[in-house]
Amino acid sequence: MNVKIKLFQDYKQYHDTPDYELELPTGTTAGEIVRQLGIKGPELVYLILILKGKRVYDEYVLQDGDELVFAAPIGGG
Amino acid sequence: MDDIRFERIDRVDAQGKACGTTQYMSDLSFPGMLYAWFVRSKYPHALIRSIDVSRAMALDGVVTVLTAADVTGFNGFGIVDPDMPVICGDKVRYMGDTVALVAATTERIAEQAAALVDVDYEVLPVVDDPIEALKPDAPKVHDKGNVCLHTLITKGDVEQGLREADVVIEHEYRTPRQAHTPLETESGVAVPEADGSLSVYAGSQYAFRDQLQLARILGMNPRMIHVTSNPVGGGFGGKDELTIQGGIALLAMKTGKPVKLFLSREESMVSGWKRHPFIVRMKTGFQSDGTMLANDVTCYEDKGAYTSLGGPVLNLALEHASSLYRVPNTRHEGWAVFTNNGVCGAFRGFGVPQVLFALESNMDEAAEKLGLDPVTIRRKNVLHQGEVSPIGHTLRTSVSMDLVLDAIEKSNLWQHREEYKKTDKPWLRRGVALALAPQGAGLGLGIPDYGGAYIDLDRDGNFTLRIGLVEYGQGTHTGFTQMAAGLLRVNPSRVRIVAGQTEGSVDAGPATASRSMYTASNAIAAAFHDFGVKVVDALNAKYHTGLDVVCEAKESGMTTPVGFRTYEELAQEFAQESPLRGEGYFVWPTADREIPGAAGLPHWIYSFAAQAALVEVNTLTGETHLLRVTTALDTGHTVNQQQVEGQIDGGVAQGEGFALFEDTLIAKGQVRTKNFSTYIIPTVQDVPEHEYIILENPEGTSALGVRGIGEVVMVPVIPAVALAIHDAAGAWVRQLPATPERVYRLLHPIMDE
Repeated sequence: MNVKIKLFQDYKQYHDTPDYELELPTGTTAGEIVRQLGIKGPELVYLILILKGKRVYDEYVLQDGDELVFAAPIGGG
Repeated sequence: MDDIRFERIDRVDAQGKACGTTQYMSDLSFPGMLYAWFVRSKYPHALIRSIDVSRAMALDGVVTVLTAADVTGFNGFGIVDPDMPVICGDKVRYMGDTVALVAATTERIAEQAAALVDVDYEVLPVVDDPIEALKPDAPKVHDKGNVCLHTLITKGDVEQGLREADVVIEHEYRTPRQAHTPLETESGVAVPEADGSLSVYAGSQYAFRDQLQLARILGMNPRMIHVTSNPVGGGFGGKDELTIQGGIALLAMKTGKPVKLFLSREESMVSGWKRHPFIVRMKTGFQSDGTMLANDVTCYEDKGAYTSLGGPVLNLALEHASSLYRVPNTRHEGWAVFTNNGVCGAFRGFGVPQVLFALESNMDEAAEKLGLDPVTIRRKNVLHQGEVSPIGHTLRTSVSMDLVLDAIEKSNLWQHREEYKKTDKPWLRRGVALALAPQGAGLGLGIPDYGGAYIDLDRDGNFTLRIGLVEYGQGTHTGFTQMAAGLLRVNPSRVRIVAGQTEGSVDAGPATASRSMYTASNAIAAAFHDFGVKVVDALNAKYHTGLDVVCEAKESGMTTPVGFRTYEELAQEFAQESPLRGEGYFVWPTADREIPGAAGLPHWIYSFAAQAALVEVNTLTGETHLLRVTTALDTGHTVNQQQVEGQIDGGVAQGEGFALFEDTLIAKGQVRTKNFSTYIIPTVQDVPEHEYIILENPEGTSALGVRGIGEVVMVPVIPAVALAIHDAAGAWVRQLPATPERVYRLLHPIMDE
């Protein structure tokens, strides 16, 4: 299956390009992508995963066509 | 959805708040609860050589005293950059810095113990001016230097534009360090639970982000931290960032007992977040007919000691430094600079009041020099949908600059201003002026801006609306309730709201950036749509009908594949199963291209207001009274006019405070205005008479046409007051607040010689 990954803010440093696509086996979870990227320490704790405006967590099983967003909860304004 | 009409209902939270029965987080108590005290720095800038807590620990009733070494996770917090220590270990950078935390059986003992913590400091020189702090030999607040952020945005050729101008207005403007002054100061309780999790009850503007910041500090799984942040006793941006939560969470986890802290007003004023003071140098060029040719702007933002949201505030200011006027040549440069002047962060308006005070002042001065009317010069320059902004992006969503300008021009105050300006005492002079403002809403480009809502059908046929966005006085929960009720076609009294809880509500982003009503309108509409789908699915499954029918809400019920059902009937029909829940999620639209070098810009949706102010200046004393304000505001689609008027009332009062009274005075890093005897906020005797002109230019990207209005209602009134002082007495105000002393000196310059 094909999944799009979008990295925002500090999470851009974990991959050559902030937007990319992955071919993944069925059953891959969001947490496996987080581990694949090597996100750790405070940045791991401060990470939010977003899918179509919905927060998802490590155990979410990715579906074909998903766009998984990695971001920190910045705000204000 | 166009046929939904909203009524002017009472606030859903009115009774509890008016009767004093609402439980704020600071009202909560738990068995065995301890009381915290934060040991604050003795100096605004110093190295910590050593800390000795033995005398404090020896005091009867003291349960623990924590220092930096006791922080179990990452010792820092900050929405953008976590550079503010929860407990300082090696250095303090402002008077509110925490060097140790005390938990004791009573508040009094905790306070006494705090005084017994011995800290050996090496005092460092203080840097208290952002321009001085930029010099190479200035004391360094952080090892990385004093520049928090530098941004430069250019369009066209500003030098050429200024050369071609018939009139160039150039001045330096200064704005105050306004305090949020919520009725409820920073406060809360942290409660360790039997399963090893931690519950934190503290009024704030985004429980879901607090949860992650606390997880980072404690080194815990975020899902073991439950945050309840609603209701909030006033926020205005001051509770967007963490305040006391990290400290009480550490104390609770260390002691295994609930720990409470409720800051005194004095401690809040010293340690709490403030509005960034700006120095704005602005050079604006106009043609003889009033057409703007160029605007050259340099902003110095006094960041205070830590980053928080100083970068986004600076960039939003720079986005608005030429407003939404048609300016072909711009140079907007800004420096956010660390100093030892307290800490500054989010505050209603978020940088826009600071720059528009300068711009609208230059605009009126140009009008006077060119013999133009203040309305005419603005009308000449306002942008419309589809045009290019002063920072170079195309305005693709609705733009209402001319709508609010036309309305304020036709207002009673503006049309009859000469009548209003009459006084019967020669030393009292009255003046009328106007200003207008856009306010970028939402979090901006490159920052995921999203929100969810759940609509649950309860067993009794009523509804529970679950949404993360907190209520801190805006009236949004009444608005959310009305939007859900309007879509469901029920009386709003049948919708209960659960909000601001990481358990029980759904993440909808922060209650900031004029984003709550707009975000909620789309998340609730999506949840309503999903609720209809769930009803069809459930009935099809039960009756094996397999029909693909779109439910339509009608009076207190829905048409379904098996006929009309009231909500009570639906609730009874599925009483044995999980409650029917509609889930809605929404992602804000954004621009497709970032303004080069300006993170977060541009914003995509704007709020719009114009305000006219009538002031009376006592030319003998400089004392200025704001007598009357008219606000022309575009709500997109008004959900509850009473709440809109309430926001205008509050915004005008806060703008009045910015313009005339409020400033946190800090000298050599020491706060001089620690309570309301020296930090003056408008009282009921000061607020003006209001006239409201509510306009509705629907924002097309909202399911209900709404746009946020919480910030923009305090912006134009600030330059309008300053310009009305000029209209009254002839003096151009360049520094706010326009205190009697400042106005007197402007009117009597000879006294300074």
